[in-house]
Amino acid sequence: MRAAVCMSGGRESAALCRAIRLWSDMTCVRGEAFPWSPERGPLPDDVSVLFWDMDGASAPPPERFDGPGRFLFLCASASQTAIESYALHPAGLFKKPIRMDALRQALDRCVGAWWNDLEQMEVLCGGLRRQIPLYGLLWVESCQHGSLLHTSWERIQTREPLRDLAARLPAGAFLRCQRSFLINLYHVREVSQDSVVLSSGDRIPVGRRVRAGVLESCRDALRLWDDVLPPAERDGGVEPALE
Amino acid sequence: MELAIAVCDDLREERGSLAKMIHDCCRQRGIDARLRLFASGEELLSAIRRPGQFHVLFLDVYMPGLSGVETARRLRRVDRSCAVIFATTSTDHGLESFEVEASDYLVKPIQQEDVDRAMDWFLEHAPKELRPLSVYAEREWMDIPLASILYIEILGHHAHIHTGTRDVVVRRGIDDLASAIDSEDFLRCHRSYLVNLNYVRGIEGSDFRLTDGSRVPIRTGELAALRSQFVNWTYRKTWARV
Repeated sequence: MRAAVCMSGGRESAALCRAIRLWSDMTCVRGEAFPWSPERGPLPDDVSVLFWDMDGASAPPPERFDGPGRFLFLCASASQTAIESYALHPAGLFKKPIRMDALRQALDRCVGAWWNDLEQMEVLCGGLRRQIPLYGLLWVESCQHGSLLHTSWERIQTREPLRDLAARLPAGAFLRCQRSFLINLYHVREVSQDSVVLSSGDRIPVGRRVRAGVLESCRDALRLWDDVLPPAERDGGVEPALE
Repeated sequence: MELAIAVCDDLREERGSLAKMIHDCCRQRGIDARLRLFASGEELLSAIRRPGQFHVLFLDVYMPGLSGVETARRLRRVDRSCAVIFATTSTDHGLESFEVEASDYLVKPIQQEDVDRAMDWFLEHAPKELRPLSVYAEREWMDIPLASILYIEILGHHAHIHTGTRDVVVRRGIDDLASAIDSEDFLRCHRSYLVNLNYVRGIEGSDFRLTDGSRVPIRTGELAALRSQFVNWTYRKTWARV
């Protein structure tokens, strides 16, 4: 996944690039984001997502930016601009200033089209080699004869012990929160005194001995999303040059 | 293919006029369309029985009771695939329309070319299951919806396209058909077979067992690989829908 960001302000572009990179890191989707404008030359062919600011844009975005795995996202502040933008048939339109939850939802919607960019883990299950995208792996629990993987769609049993699975997963995205449980930090939605709640609604207990460290890591993961996209009013002053 | 289209507008005259334009648009393009008209958001929502029941919905915004935007929000909780096209006098809901993933926003008075443009975009980007395979058979060109094909079998110089209701025989090679279909839902599981994985109920021995009971052989020597490919396809397909 390669995202090109063309916002009217350099600071807005830089913030949006940071937010997309964070999403990419946390979801284990291989990707990059970079500021771009038509003055810099033609849009690279391998760009899969284009963010285009309709406010103050001197030219329309490149025509027909669509096709499999390609998404055009527009940003606007006025209703009339939004209506006119239907002529471009974007994958979505963000009301400015862009909210982080709206950005996450939009990128989450696209993820199915980027299968080849999703980091995957191969597990052996009932004699079959299954490719599990890490994005869709919510949590793993240890069970009598191996581990049970809870994905966004189904549960997959494997003979591989939790310890071995944990060693194969990226440490920054997954966390062993108890001897028998491993969670995907991207899917953490709430942190309580002794457990965490995931996007699926599952409540996962946190081990007593590791509680302080795990809960802090989960809170840090939630805080990561705050302030990545500052509100527009903070963006005042002289616009810095694009990165 | 038959398109299921809903029109929801509280004004009878507006409903009728929009329905006529949609009907004319579909007729010009040789599309079978089934139109249903609704006078309110509540009436529309109570008629929805399953996701994908309507392919396209033309929706007014200002209506007594539920507004068009709120109707679309509630529709999205049960159906993500329906193409929602707002048809309204108001220009105040452009930003909200994107929140419900609308496909278009037409401002009244609506002209025939507005409807044509919105429908052309929808047809061009229609879900794969609505896409047809064009073949020449029985001395005429016919469109077979991909979703209706169970599997294709090569016998001699002819391909037998097995659908749920009939078999169509065409003089084309399997490579040519596979490339025309160009869908990950179809797996070349044997030198002479192309199977639509959506119809596979399971694997029995060295065959795919389909939902209609027929069996499609799997290439010997590649059973394990094709079995894994099928399971991964199932996972990917269901996961992408979540």
